Amino acid sequence: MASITFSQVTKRFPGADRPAVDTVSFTVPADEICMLLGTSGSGKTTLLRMVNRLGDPTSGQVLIDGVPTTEQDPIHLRRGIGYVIQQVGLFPHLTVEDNVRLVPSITGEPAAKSRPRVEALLRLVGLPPAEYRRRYPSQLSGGQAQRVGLARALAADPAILLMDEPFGSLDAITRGRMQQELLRMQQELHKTILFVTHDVDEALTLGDRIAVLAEGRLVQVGTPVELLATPANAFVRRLMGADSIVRQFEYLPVTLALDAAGVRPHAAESITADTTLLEALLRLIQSEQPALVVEEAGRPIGHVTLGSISRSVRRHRSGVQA
Amino acid sequence: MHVDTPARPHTSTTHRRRARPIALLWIAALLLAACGTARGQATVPPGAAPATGDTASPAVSGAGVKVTIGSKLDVDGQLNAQMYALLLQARGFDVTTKLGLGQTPVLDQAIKSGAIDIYPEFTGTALTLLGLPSTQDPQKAYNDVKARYAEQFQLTWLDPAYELNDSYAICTSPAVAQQRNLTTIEDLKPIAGELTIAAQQDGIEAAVDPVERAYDLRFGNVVQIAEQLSFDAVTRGDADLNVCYTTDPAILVDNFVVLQDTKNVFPIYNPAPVVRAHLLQEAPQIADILNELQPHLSTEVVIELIKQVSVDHKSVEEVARAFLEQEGLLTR
Amino acid sequence: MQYLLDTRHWILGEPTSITSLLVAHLRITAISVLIGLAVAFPLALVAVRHTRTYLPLITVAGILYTLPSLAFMALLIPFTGLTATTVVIPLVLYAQVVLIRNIVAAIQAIDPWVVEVGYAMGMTTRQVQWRVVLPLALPVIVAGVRVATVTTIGIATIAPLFGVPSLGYLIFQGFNTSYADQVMAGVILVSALAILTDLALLGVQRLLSRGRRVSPATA
Repeated sequence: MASITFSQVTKRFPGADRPAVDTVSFTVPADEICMLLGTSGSGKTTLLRMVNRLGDPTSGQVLIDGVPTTEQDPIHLRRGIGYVIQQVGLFPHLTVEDNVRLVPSITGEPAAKSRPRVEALLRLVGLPPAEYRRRYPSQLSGGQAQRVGLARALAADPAILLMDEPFGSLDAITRGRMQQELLRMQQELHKTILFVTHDVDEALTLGDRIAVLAEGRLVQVGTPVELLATPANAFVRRLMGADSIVRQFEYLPVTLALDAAGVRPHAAESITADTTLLEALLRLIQSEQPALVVEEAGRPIGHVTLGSISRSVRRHRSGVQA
Repeated sequence: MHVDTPARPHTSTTHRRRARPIALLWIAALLLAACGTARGQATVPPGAAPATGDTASPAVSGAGVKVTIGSKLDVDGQLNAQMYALLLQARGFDVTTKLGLGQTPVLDQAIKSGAIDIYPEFTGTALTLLGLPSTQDPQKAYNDVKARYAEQFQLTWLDPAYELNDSYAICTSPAVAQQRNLTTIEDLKPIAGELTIAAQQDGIEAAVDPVERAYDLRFGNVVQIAEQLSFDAVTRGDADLNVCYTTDPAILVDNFVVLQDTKNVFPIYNPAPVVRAHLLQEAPQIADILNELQPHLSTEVVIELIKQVSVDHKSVEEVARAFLEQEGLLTR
Repeated sequence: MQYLLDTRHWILGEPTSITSLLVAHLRITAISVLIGLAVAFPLALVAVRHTRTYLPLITVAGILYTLPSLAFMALLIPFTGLTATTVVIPLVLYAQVVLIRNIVAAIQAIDPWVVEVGYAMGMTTRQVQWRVVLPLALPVIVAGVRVATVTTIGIATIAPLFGVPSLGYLIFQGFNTSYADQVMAGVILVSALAILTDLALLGVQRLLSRGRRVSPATA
C-alpha cells in the first residue's frame, strides 16, 4: 500500500550533455504494476534507482505516500523496497535460503524466525524449499536464480518492488512463464511494482500502467489500452506498434467495439467486458452467432458483431493516422 | 672459516648501499608494528640460552653487568665464544650467547652496532676486512688490527691465542699422497697441471692463488665446494687435493696429509676476543678474565675439541665446559 | 633419520630441541605473515581505489622481493640488532608482492552487481564490506596467503644466522659440525612444515570457497 510520485524529477550526470532524466512527473498508484518503457538510454533505469535512493535527483522529488525519499534514511528506506535486476546478483557464497533471508538477517533477525517465511516465499516463486534451500547460486539455472532473486526481494514484505528488466536475460519460454507467475503472485501480494523494460509485449502483458520514456523525458503515461488506442505522438505509436491490427486485436478490449444499436436481448452467448477483441472475434466465429452479449458485473452493457468489430478497428486506425 | 664472505656472492656493498634508503623508509613504518610482537621473542637465541649457571662463581666483580657474546658458524668460533661465556658467567656476569650467527659481515655489523659485545675473530680475517695485506708475522698482524679497530670502531682486541693458528693448508688423502709421493707443496710443482684441487669460496683467493704465485705452479682444475665437503670429494676421487682449515678434525679422522708449506705463504689466523670498548670501561676485569684463557689454546687442543663436537656430536657447551674444568679455569 | 627419532632431541624447554625450533619457526612465520597481511591490506585497498597507484606499488614490492635476504637482514643489524625484528621486516616485505596482488585481484573479481544489490537491499557500507566483499574475496586472499606462507617458512630457515631461532639451526649447525643426520632432520622438518601448512591453508580455502570454484593464487 504505497504510491510513488515523481515530481519534476531531473537527474544530471557530470559530463553528460543532456539530463539522463528530464523533469519527469507522474504518479504510480498503490498496488499497481507500472511499466517504465523505453529504449536504452531513455533514463528508465536512472528513474527507477531514484526510488530507493541508489541515486538522488539533481532537482525535483520522489515521494512515497507523499513523503519525499530524501527525507528518509536510505538504509531504512531500501529495506522496505524490494529490488530485482537482470543480473540477479545473488550472493554466490550464500545458499538459496541465506540469500532469501538476507534482508531479515541484516536487520538482525535470527534464522529460525525467518525460516517459515523463507519457505513460503520459495514455494510462492515455484521452488520447492526441500529441494532448493541448501543449493548455492552456481547450482541454479537462469530462471531458478531469478526466482530466488524475486523471493529475496519479497523477503521483508516490502510495499514496493523495483524490477529492472528482471526477465531480460531469460529465454522466451521461461520469460513468458515468469511473466504469468508474476501476475499470479501480484493477485496475492498487491505490491506497487515499478518495472523497467524495453520489451513492448512485456509492458502490455504486465502493466496496469505504462510510462513511455524517450531521451530522459516522459512521453506518455497511461493504461495499455490508452497507449494503443490513443498514442500521444508518432514515437509512441511506432514504439507500441499501434498500427498493427494483430496487436490491437490482442490487447484492445471488446468494449471499444460495442454495436451502436444497443442491447439485443435474443443474442444467445455472452462475454465479459475485459475480453480482448481477438478473443471476441474467435468466439463469434466459433459460435456461428451473429452477435455476442457483452456483460459487465453480470449486467449486459451491449453487444458486438463482426461488423461492429470491423468498424471500430477501421475507425481507430483512421483516428491514429489523422 | 676465516675470510668468510657472504653466502650470496652478489651481496656487494654497492648493492646494499643502494637498497638502504628504501629499506629505511619501510623499516620506519614497520618497526612500530613489528616491535611489540617480535621483540620478546628474540631473547631466546638458538646457540645456547644464557649459559646454565656456574655455581662456583668467585666472589668477584661482574655482578649485574650484561654481556652478549656472539660467534660465527664455525665450530672453532663457537667453542671460543662459549668459553668466554662460561668464564664471564662464572665471575657473575649476566651473559647472553648468540652462537652460530652468519658469516663475518653479520658479526662485524653486530658488534659495531652493539647487538653483541664480544666475539672471537681471527687476526688474518680482520686484516682482510680492513683491506690490509695479509702477513705471516703473527705479532704484526695482531698489532695492526688492534690499532685500527681501537681507532676506527672503538673495539678492543684482547690477547690473541698465538699458539692457535686456524689457517689454510693444502691437504690430500693418504692414497693420493702415497701414489704421487707428496709431502710438501713443493712436490706439486711438476704435476700440478694434472691435478684437480677442491677449494671453498674464500680458499681460492686465500690459498690457491698465493700457492700458485709463490710456488710458481698452476693447478689443472679448481672446483669450488664447501670445505666440509671437500674431504669427501678427494676421498671419492672427484678431486686430488683440497684446501683445508688447519683445525679441521677431518684431517685426523680421515688421516689426511697436510702438505708442508715450505715457503710460508699462508697468512696467520690467531683468534682473540674482540670487545666493545664501552663494555671494557664499565667492566675492565673482562680483559684479565679472557686473557687468562689464551695460553691454554693451541691448534692441537682445538682440533681435539672440534673433533668432540663434529665427530662425537657433543654439544659445544659440553665440550667447552669440560675443557675449562680440565684446565682449571673453571671449578667443577 | 636417527636424529629425528631420538627423543632427546624433542625435549620441551630445551632451546635447540626440535620442538622448540619448530615452535619458533612457526611463530616467526605467523608473525611475519600476519604483519604482512596487515601491511598489504591497506595498500591493496589504496591500489583498488586509485588504480594508478597499483603499478608503482607492485613494482616497489617486486624490487623488494629481489633483495637477497641474507644481505637485507645483515643490513638491518645496525638498526634492529640481532632480534626477531631483523628477520621479520624482510619477511614482511617479501610477502607484499604476492599478498597485494592477490588482495587486489580478489576484490576486483567481485561481481559489481552483487555489491550493488547489497546496497539496494539496505546494507550499510560496513555490512557490504563484511558480509559481501570480504567473504567473496577471502578465498583468493587465502590463496595468496598460502604462497606467502610457504615462501616465509623457507626464508625463515636463515633466521638463526641473525640470532633468531628456527629449524634452520639444525641445518646450519649440522653442516658446520659435519652432522649429516642433523642437517637431514632440518631439511625434512622445514619441508614437512611447508607442505603441511600449505595443505592446511588449502583446507581453509576450500572451506571459504563453498559454492564456488577453488581459485589458485595470482602469483
